[in-house]
Amino acid sequence: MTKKKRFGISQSLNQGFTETINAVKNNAGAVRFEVVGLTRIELDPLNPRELTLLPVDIIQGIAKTDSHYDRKRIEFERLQGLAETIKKKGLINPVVVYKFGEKYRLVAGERRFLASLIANRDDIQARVLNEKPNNLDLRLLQWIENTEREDLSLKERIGNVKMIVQEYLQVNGQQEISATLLKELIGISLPQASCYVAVLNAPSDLAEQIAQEKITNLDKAALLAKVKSATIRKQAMEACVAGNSLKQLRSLIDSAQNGERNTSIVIQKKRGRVAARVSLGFTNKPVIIKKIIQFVVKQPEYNHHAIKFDTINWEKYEQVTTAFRKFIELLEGETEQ
Amino acid sequence: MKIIAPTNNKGGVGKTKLSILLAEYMSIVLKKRVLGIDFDPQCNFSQRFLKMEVDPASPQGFIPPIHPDYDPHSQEDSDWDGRSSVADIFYKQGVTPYPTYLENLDIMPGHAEKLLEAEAVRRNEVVEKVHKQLSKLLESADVQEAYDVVIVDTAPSKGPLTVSVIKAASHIVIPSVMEEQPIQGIYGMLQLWMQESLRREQAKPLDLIGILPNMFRTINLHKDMLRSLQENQAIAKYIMPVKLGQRAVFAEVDAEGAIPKTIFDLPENNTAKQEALEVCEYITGRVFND
Repeated sequence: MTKKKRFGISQSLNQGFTETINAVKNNAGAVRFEVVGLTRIELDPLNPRELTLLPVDIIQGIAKTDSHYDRKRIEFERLQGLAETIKKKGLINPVVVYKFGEKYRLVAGERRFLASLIANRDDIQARVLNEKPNNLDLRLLQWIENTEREDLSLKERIGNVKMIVQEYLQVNGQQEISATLLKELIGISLPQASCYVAVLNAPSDLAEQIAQEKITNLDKAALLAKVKSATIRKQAMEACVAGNSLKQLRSLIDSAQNGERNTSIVIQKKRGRVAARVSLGFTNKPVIIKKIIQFVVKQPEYNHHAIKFDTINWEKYEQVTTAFRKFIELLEGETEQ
Repeated sequence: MKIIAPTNNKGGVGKTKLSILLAEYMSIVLKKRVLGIDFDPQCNFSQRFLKMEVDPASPQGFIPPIHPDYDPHSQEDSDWDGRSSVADIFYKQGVTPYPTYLENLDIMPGHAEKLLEAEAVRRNEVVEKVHKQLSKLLESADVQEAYDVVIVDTAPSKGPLTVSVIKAASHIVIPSVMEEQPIQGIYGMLQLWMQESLRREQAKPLDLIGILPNMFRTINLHKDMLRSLQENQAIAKYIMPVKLGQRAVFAEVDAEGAIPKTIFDLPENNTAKQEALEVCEYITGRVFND
């Protein structure tokens, strides 16, 4: 008796079906990338901004009468580098927007947006969210975007974490923020989270120093935040601002806390080897070199060198540079140490 | 306005048959205002409702007949040749739908040569020139106000024409024969559905009504293949609980001069008619009530 034939779809096809259907189930409506015309993007007026520069400033130029003129000019200059990269290579990291009527509002990527305007682009790659994210998600998104930028100062990072914590407490009720909680919330290591918790609870004098960007290192700030005594803390802060390393700060704090009177601040020496020679600098006025050399070779003891400097074209920088070097060599040769 | 498209890049699985059934059901039984659009260069859907013509000058295939409202002597028709097909959207022209023998059903017919040209557009131009055109037409106020539902028949292909339809549609159905190669065709269609779904905003999803087992025979091959699909957890919910059997009458009603002209004029106790009603009721229920 022949076996009854059984048929079925192949395993690979089965798997293909499962993957495809699940992809839609898990992601539909959530992940969208579009290329958006720059004129359709606007800043979200409800988001506090770090920059003062506005799109209109880039398109029409910064008004001379603008009260923020100087600051805007600095910000504009700082964006040039990014604008150059965008001109040459395009934008690698899409900005994040949400649809607001006919326009798109920026969630993250202000610098990229403004730099694209400077680079004269027509459009920009954007990840489009379906709706404005709730405040907590918004802060988290901006945090994640920002931690990839190296130039974020301690002040800015603390500011961001504070806002995230505020939103979290709004949603989840007042509670103590532990390092573990912070670690889970913003995705950093436990030691880092401990530092942030310490700095978030910093006494006001330290907070002031951070806000003024005098103290910019997270580990040092965390160390200082834990110093209970105001006097010792003041000492340590001054040392920190003067450039002490973490190790030096620790030993300063330890010895102060151990009661040893140590009123002198460790003055941080300038780095580098002890100077062993004179640096000769530059000038863009070769006539000065001409004066020096011609004056010296007029002196009787150096007159025999004069002929070497007769044929120099004193207007050619390279000739004058070579001449000056030779001049110094000659003098060195004739001078005892 | 709902836009339903039967799709499958395997030929001969019954897309056009399903398009015809849905167009007739919705206009005859549900009395909705229906627009049928033929996006298949073969123009079988158009031929079902209009007397398409063969142009000896363009041997590629069918062209639409002269429009019944065309008046060559009138001022407004003076620079029109009297023929209108949906393919004119690729040439930045308006389209004039044709009436059919059914009161509530209009057709925008295909045009073999023009549709084939659209299929062949170069990659870097295809998005602007082809992909978005059907959406634009169907979003226009004229069309939105005139019709409740649009049925778009597609070609067995995953080319620019089908992509256009997928971008414009609100619902797709995948008819398939329960055999190896047509089932592989389902997979290809699901890929297109997935890609488009991920591009859509939440408010305007592309709904997959499901896979319709078509030309079904009670042989082991068909039964096993169907069961195999139903056993796949992910896709099971998309296998429709209704099917169309392999019945001669489905093809017979398409023949020229056939009586009756439509399945829905057959007697109530006719099995084919009952099957057709079940399938159309299921699909309509999903489209209008979900």
